[in-house]
Amino acid sequence: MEQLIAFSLIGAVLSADITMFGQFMISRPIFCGPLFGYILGDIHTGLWLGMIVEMMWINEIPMGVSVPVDLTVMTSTAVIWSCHFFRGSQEAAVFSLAAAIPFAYLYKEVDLAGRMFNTKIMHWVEKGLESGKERRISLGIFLGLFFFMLRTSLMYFLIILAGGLLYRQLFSYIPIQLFVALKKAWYYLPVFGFGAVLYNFRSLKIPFIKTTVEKLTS
Amino acid sequence: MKNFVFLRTFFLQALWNFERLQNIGFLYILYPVLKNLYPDKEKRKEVLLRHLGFFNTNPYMVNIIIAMVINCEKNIAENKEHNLKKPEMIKSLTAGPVAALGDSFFWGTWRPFVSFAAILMIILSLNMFTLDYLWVAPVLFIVVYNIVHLAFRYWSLIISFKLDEKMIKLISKLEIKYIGDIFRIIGLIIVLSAIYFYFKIFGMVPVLEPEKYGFNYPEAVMFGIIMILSFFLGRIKPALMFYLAIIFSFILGYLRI
Repeated sequence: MEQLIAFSLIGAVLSADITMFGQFMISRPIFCGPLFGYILGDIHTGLWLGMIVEMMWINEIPMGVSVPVDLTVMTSTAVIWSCHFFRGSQEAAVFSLAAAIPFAYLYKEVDLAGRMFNTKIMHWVEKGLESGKERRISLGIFLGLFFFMLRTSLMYFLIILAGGLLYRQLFSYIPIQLFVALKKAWYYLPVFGFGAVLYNFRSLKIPFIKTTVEKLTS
Repeated sequence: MKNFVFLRTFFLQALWNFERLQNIGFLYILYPVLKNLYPDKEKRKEVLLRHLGFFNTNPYMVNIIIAMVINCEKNIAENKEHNLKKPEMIKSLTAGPVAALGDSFFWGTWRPFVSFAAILMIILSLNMFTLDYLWVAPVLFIVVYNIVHLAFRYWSLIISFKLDEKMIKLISKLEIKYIGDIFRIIGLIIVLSAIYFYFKIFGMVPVLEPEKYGFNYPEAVMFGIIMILSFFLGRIKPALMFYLAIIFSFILGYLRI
């Protein structure tokens, strides 16, 4: 139980990095995956899953008002489940990622609701300022962070616990053909990731060579 | 004071909301400065309410706007500037353009670039190092990314205080697009290297024992087909692509390829 609470809090801190505080990129799958893997004694699985998610979701970043799917929840829970229940099993690791994706979308909905709630806090701060209560600026920021940490750590707690039990049950029932497929997917998924990454470069022309030549000759 | 403002900029989005996005975060950064500039509480109230409007920019680029707004507020407080709408004008006119620069460079170029380098390191380290050193790639990812990120944030704040509105000219002269293009080219080379090493390490030997399944296509060929396929599927949602990859693996497993 202590470990579950600790993981929920660590997960919430990592998720806070996406928009709430800092943006130091500790929330990226390539960091949070190996981190949980390291804690649970299987950094290899953490690295591999982190690498897959990082490549396949390379363009998922919060820009403007868009709220992307939470890759931190997806990677962290997948690594925690697979390393906790079936350490070292490649099939279980791929299956954990497949199982974690719907939970990441579920978390996104909770996050959206949280941001709606932030609007209420913002109005509370505004009203306070109109009546001269300047402390509400700092309080508003504190409340924003507090409610984020509360809902995110609660979500992590539920996803890791309930989702984990569901994942363990489902994995024990999968047919042998799917087992073979998951084994293959362990090696194929990074290749799918490479394809997704290369897609990013489709618009890359080589104008910079032209510009460099122009700069050097001018 | 500048260091204090710098630390507060990390909280810009702590109360991000759908109505006015980063408005309270911006006010939180500005508040200690405004408190110094306007000791009279009634006067300060007017100024604080002025800054409650819609605001949204890239969090890495906010320091430029913060410094310009602080300089403007100083001028207003010292009666050197009489246009009370000027801070709002600075915010609304600069937020979009600097956000576009920040989004395209930091999130569209620098982060993927460092990620690609880390992925290459992971692939190499899985083959070359013992399990004791596997932590190096993710730690280097964070360190290298943040050296540039934090240095830019601090430098942009300090230099914007000095240059004020001229900072926009300086930023436009930095040729971020040109720098971005260079990083993208190097990034492409890194990705191609990662693919080469991945194929070399995992592609030339069958993943599953051939004798168990009768025959086996060279995995490198299969990897190539998958990569081309996923390149053309680039437009679809990553989650859908992930499940398609599992189905694809299932079909291959079923066909014993």
